[in-house]
Amino acid sequence: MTRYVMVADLRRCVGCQTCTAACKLANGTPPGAQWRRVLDIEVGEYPNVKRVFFPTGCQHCSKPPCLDVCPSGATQQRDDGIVSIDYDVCIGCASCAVACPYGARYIVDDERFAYGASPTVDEAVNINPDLVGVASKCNFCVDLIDAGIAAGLTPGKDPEATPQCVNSCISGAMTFGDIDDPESNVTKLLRDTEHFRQKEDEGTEPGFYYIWDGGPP
Amino acid sequence: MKVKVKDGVACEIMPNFDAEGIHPANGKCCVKAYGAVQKTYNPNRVLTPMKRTNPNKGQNEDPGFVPISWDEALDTICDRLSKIRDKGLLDDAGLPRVAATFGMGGTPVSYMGTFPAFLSAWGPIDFSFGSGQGVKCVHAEHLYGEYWHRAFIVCSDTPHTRYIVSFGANVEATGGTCAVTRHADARVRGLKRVEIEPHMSVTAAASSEWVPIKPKTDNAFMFAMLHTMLHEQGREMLDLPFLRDRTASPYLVGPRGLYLRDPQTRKPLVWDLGSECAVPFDTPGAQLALEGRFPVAHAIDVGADDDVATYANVDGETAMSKMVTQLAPYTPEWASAISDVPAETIRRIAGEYLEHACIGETIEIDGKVLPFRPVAVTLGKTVNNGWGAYDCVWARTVLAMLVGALEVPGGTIGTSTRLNRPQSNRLKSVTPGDDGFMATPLNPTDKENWAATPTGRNAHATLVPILGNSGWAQALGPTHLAWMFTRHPPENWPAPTYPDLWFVYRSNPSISFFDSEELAESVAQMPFIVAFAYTPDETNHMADILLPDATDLESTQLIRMGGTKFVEQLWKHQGVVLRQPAVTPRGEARDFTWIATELARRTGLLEGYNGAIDRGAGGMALKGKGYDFSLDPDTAYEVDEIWDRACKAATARYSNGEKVHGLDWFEEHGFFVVPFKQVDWYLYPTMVEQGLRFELPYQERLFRVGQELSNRLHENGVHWWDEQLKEYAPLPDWCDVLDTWDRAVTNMGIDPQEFPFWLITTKSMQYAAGNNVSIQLMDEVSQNVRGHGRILIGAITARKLGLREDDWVELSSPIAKTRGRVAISEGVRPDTLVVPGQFGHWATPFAKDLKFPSLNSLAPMSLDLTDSTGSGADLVRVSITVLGDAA
Amino acid sequence: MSWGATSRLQRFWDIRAACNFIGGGTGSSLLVWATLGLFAGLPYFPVALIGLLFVAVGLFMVWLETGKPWRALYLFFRPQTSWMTREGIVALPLFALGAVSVFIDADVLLPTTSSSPAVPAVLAAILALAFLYCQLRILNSARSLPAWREPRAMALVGLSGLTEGFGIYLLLGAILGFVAPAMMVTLMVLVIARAVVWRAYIAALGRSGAPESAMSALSAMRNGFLITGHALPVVLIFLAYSWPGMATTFSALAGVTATLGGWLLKIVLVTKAAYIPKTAIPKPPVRGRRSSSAGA
Repeated sequence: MTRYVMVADLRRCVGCQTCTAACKLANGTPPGAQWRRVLDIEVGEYPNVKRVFFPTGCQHCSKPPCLDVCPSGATQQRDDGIVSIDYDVCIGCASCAVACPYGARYIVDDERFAYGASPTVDEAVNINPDLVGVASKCNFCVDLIDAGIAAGLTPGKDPEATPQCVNSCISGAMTFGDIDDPESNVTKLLRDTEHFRQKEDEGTEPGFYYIWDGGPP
Repeated sequence: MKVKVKDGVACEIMPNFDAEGIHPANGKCCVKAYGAVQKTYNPNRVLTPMKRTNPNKGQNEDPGFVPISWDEALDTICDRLSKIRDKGLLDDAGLPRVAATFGMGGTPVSYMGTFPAFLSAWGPIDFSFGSGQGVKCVHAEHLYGEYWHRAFIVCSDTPHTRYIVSFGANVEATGGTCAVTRHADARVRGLKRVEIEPHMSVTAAASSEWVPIKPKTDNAFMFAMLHTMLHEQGREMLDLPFLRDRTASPYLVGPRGLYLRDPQTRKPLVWDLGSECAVPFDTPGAQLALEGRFPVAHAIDVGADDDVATYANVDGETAMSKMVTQLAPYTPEWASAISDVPAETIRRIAGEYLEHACIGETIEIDGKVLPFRPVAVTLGKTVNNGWGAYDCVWARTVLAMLVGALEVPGGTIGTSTRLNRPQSNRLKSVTPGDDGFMATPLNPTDKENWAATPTGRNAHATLVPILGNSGWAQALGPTHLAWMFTRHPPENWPAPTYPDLWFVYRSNPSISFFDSEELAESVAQMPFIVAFAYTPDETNHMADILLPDATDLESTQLIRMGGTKFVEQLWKHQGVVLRQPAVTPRGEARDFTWIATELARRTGLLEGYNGAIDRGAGGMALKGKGYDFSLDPDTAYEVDEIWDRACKAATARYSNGEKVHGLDWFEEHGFFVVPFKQVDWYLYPTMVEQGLRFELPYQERLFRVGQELSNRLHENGVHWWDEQLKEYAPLPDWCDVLDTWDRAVTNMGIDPQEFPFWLITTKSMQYAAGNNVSIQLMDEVSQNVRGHGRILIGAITARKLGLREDDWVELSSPIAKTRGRVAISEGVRPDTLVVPGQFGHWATPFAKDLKFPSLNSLAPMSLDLTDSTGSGADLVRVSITVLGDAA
Repeated sequence: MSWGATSRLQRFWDIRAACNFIGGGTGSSLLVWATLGLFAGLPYFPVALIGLLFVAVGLFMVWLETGKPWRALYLFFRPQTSWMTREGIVALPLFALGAVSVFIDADVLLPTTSSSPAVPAVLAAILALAFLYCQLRILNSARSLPAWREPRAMALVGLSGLTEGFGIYLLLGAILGFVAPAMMVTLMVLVIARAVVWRAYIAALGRSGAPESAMSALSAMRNGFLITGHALPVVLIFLAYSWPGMATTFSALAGVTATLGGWLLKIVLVTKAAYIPKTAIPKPPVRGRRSSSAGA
């Protein structure tokens, strides 16, 4: 079996938002919708405070709450673990958006553009009009993955088959791959490090791991 | 980077994975690069040349720009330029009639094609009018770093270091992709970085420890570290051989604070423990005493204006001992009271620094055995500017020196030279000079050669000897003096004139400099402004002609890559990369090289222009050993032809003539590199090869130069630089920066206590040096970063003032007021406020609607707040008025 | 403020969604009460008709809220797991049977025979309860919102639905003249029960560590909710008992206030208390703790 997961090394991330920007261009999301974003979180109180940069987005859960609540069947789960949305089917009811414990879903009701009411030249070509009025979220750049696999490439290893947030990440914080493959980059990375997943007590079994410590000194 | 183009439209920016293993960040590009798509298609772009129709200039005047043809625009400019040439390149005050201002960080040079060749062909240009230079850069580091270790920019040897003490260096935000990659790797392998700064920046966040320090008291902290190392720890913790052989520590200092010198050779004397007498420092076989006071039988010293004193039986104390004595009062307890950092923390950090220094260890790099000293000290922008900055760069360099961690693997190293040549290889800029140090030409201060009349409006050659007078020196002068003096000339100073024509590119001084409102008024006084304009902005609002240049994705330029340069750009390769048009320029935007060629052609300067390109003004000399792609002097070349020759010259040069690739090859392959030796990251081997010493810790030469400058200025009746002259001390006395500020405010007739908070600023990766405030994507992604567009306030203070997140407040400084929303943070000291970035726009489309506050509008430009290098710090006393949830 | 650093109010569902909970709760329970009344010989069809209208208006409002209203039929595609699909599926026979009952009772359908609507009415009432239950499960499925997913929210909103329906039932009783003392007692029991469940809900929410902003939104409406929806109805019912001449008016007012209290609860719950908690970091990263041997 194949189970694609994302790994974010919190020790590396500096919150630069390069992944956020890369994702927006790669997926043509309208202003305000950020399938990938990096949160800037403070933990503790002055002066004993830590500031954590926390990449987040769809966690591609094994037991996704969004999947169960979706009335239209637009939200689907693939055998490789990727949770996707069929934008031609979604009715934009937002059940999934309030069901997602990770705040990963967006609904943009009206056409929105970077500079006012009409699209810029690039937006006219690049903005995905299917995203208006429906729920949208990170899909692990599934089209890239599928095309890459078809071309004999390995997602997470070959950039042409890897989500753009990972490709763009300048600190090396983001890693993607098949956790069911004992030799994959993510499997090895997680084997060597201390990590957690968001809200593990939800029982959603996210496919998004956060490294916080560990590894060879 | 690579660009994805769909239907002739640029849609996506992607890393260039072809550079994996070559580029230190493996071809990844900065977040700002992802804004290049919107930058290209921003509907607010200026897409045709324009001329002003309203002769009145000012913030409230509509410029009335109307589109004109390129012919009309260039004819108008060149007509004016020709008249200037007819009148003479210098005006009656001896100042260049043409001035030019470019944005920070050397970035514009990578975009302006061959324009530098036009400027070179023109003759004297005044680069005095800064847009934040000396204030927004790391000014003291630029000047003294280059002076002491050819380090215009200083960084840690991140791949090797184990312990970094960082005083406000925001390297994770401003160090680019290479720094972020290198530091992330280092963190994971266990590097400990301690970040000492008043608010928790991105860099503090990603550090092992954050030490909140009172703003601008870093010098006290660092002096206390030095005190701990010299007075509380054993000497075996220091790198004694390094101090003895590679620094001036053993040099004997006489009663006048000058080196005691051999009467015959004038060489500085040292104490030879073998012969028990004073000998010239380079006496073979001498066993140099590092510390102590020794009787010298015969000696001279050389003071200001060649005032020689002769001594018999005089006591000489080593420079090291002088330093030890100088630092005796600066205990951690003393520093604690000033910096609000517990003495034990300072002591611990000094101890950790020593423990990690690995004294005695070596490492082999490229077959050479070098000292391995994996400790570094880095300094941030505000630490490096204005009063106290000299203390900090001196202390930083001495901290490295004491453990031999200067310019060796793991230590504190430089990346580039700008004031000394060649800029392409800092090691080659090292040549033997006087007294066993590197030769560094300073601006003359002797009576005969001192530039009594300023040659530029910021008077860099007159007031700042350490700058020297090479191409970059003027732009690094006291740039705010140019703005201040044109409006309010000081006493006994030639009245400065405005230049007849001012070129502005990728720069917006009306926003990016202190006292921005008054500065905009000064800009309005400029008789004729030619602005290369991306969108309307606060500076080109006063322009007479706007010229649209092709932007990042539309233009061609061959740019040097690799080697060592800029911030943490330490590569194992060097070569060139081609920026090639991914899309055709929008509207009437033209490639900068075309514009430069047209200016040269129409002003009859083609010969000089082509000659300058031949010599490398476009970034790469066209003629060298075994190759010659020189331009015909009288031909106006097409853009592609110029870059084709540059490509060929570059490949021939880097491959030693083995390969010659033209533009077509680069269009396919993107870049060309050859290996660069890692050992060349470090200056130490060069110093050893040439038998040179770092000019540390004692600043005898600067002391003498300062006295000479003092003599010259006083002879001319200038006394308003006296405070600055006090910085020319052989060893620094601690500068109380906050008190200096208070005195400056008091001099304005205002009680500083009315402004109880210290306002500082911080850069963000999304905007630093980005010229991208009008890019919606940058604003959108920046909203994820705490404090973007806000006033950051500590949670404790916010609670005291009853402030909630996003409440509006008004900040008042002694000169102005500004409004903004607050962001509450646990990572800000209670006495400190932070306004990130530089905003406060009123003309730039998109940015003006953001209503973001700016420190620049509140910070005064003042001689009282200017240090001897001509820089000022981003620090302002302010008060807060709570406005609630509506402005 | 950067996203996720503090709790934030969900903006996906607004007052239109609240109207669905209002219409669905009030309308479905009105159908239930009407059916019970039917067996007590009280008027059925006007009450049931209004109940159906409430449900319909609620659904219409939520239909307006969807991003792609013309794809409404896709709503029915996932009955296996989606309570929204199930709500839609239940709504269809609910309207059909409700309409049949109403028409029978109003003698529009089968006017020549004196048929009783009892069978379809009971079936409609069962479907109404199912419809209400679906709504509660929809609320409970909102796992990003502590104020909704708290199990006692289902009890509270369910009970409130029954109360609101009964409040309207009393109002209609006053208008149509079928108010009985037992009905006032019933309302009293319902509002007291709702107040008790409210207390339990707030206490549980506090224990679960719900966002402060959610707690304060609820706390801000507490007085309005408890006074309008509980104290006033109780007082009015006492007045109705002690002032028989005005009993009908007072009981109608009691019904209205009890209903308004419930509607306020739902509006606040959907539009003001639906906070997504700030992101919690269970283990902050360790950045360079160890000393390293690199480079040696």
